[in-house]
Amino acid sequence: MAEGNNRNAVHIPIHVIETILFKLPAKSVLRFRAVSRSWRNLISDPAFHRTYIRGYQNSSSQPNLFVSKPSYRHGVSLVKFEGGKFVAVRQLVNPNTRDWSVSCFCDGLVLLRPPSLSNYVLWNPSTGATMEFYSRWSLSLTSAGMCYGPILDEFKVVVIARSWLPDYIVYSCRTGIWEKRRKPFAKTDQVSESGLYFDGAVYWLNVDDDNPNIVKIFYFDPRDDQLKILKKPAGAGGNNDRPIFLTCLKGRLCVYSNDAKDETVVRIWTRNENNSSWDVLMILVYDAREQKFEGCDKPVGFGEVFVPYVDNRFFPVQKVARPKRKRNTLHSNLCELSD
Amino acid sequence: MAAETGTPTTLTLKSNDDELFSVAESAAILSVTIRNMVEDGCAGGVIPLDNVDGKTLASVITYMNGISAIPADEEKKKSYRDKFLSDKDFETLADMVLAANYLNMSCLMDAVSAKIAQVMEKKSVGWVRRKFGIENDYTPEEEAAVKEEHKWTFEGVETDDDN
Repeated sequence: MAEGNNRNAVHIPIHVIETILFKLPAKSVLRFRAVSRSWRNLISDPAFHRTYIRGYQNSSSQPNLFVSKPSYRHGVSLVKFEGGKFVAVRQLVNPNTRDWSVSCFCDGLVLLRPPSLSNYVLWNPSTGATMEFYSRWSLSLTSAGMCYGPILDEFKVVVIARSWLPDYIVYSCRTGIWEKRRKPFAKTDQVSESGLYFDGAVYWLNVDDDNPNIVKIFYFDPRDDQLKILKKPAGAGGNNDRPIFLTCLKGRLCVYSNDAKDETVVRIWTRNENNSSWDVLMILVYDAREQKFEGCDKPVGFGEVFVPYVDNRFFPVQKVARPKRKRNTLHSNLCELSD
Repeated sequence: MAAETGTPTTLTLKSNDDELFSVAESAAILSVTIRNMVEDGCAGGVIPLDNVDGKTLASVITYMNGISAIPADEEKKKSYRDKFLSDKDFETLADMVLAANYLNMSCLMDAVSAKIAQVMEKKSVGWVRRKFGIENDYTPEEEAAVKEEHKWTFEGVETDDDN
């Protein structure tokens, strides 16, 4: 190691640098691609991404960010919940000039839907890359979710029909194939529109059509492509006056609903550490009528319009399968970081 | 391994600039490297640590003693680590991360790398190159292109006032 005058810089081995980079937010990591070729190669390595994303998912110290849906035609706002208010952090600009809406989020990827209903676009706002693919169904009432399947290292999109149809479909972004699966229960008319991605699975809520007191939480497990049921917390939601919502706070899956007597009181439950039951995480006062933020004119409620988002997972995807139809340039775009 | 006796065992560590340090074995074995030497029976005399200088080793030993004096309480250990690292500058932190790596001390490695990340978070690309001694091997065109790809990540970066 250099001594004396030239002791300004230290030489740190690359695996130690990697350990440090894992602890930085995505914004810094992506900026430091410009440091040198070897740093760019390290940061662009798919193995680095996987470890990085997993590390942040397990971290409870990250700030909670949310994505707002109101302005989705032009993009979405990234907002922070701070001091009882939503504060805009950044605007993600929709790459499509057409009237596409945001469907769901996973690991920094966004799924967009056009009004035509027959195709989807996966969008990575941090690189601007997009990939288009086509659905076998063109139904107007569907619920979509997206998740990362660890076994085959791929993203999957799940589409559930909010109708009598007995099936749901799973799209593999690696193979480009849609597969039909049977629902575990028949009634899915009232499934929440966007699936919530959390820790390797996608979660939805379903309210029973005949009896609104029956609320189910179910999830898609990418290991076997099945939909499974999770018990909801006792006392949460359960009728139309008190809708319940899913979110992710402090690295844990949470359910929240307004108080039965006072609608400005929001009660939040979280899974306990063994993931075996629900505990009350916190109770906060939130008056939806007063909440506004930059880029949004209308007051916004806590549940209907916000999807949890972790900016630190805001990271590029690798190896997205070649789309079925003439989209080679977009494909190479998505792989731009693996150079 | 030596049989347990009533008196605590003390080890002597030697830095690469020939400074000698005494440290309780129970604290020193936080380093997997040292623990392996102890278990292999190589810790009888002086343990030479060829990759760590005296100043850094003194600091590491302060940490070893401090953290091993705290009973199994993660909160307290964390606040000790935060306080221990709070006044260290980048060069000291870099020496410590290298020492933690060489001594194979995962808790110190975690804490120091997190602290370095915290220092680096809002720094410029130029700052990182200087501090880590990295040569810019991009052509100006390439560098401009790489920066262009993630323009938003260059917003809100601190200006480099320190060297």
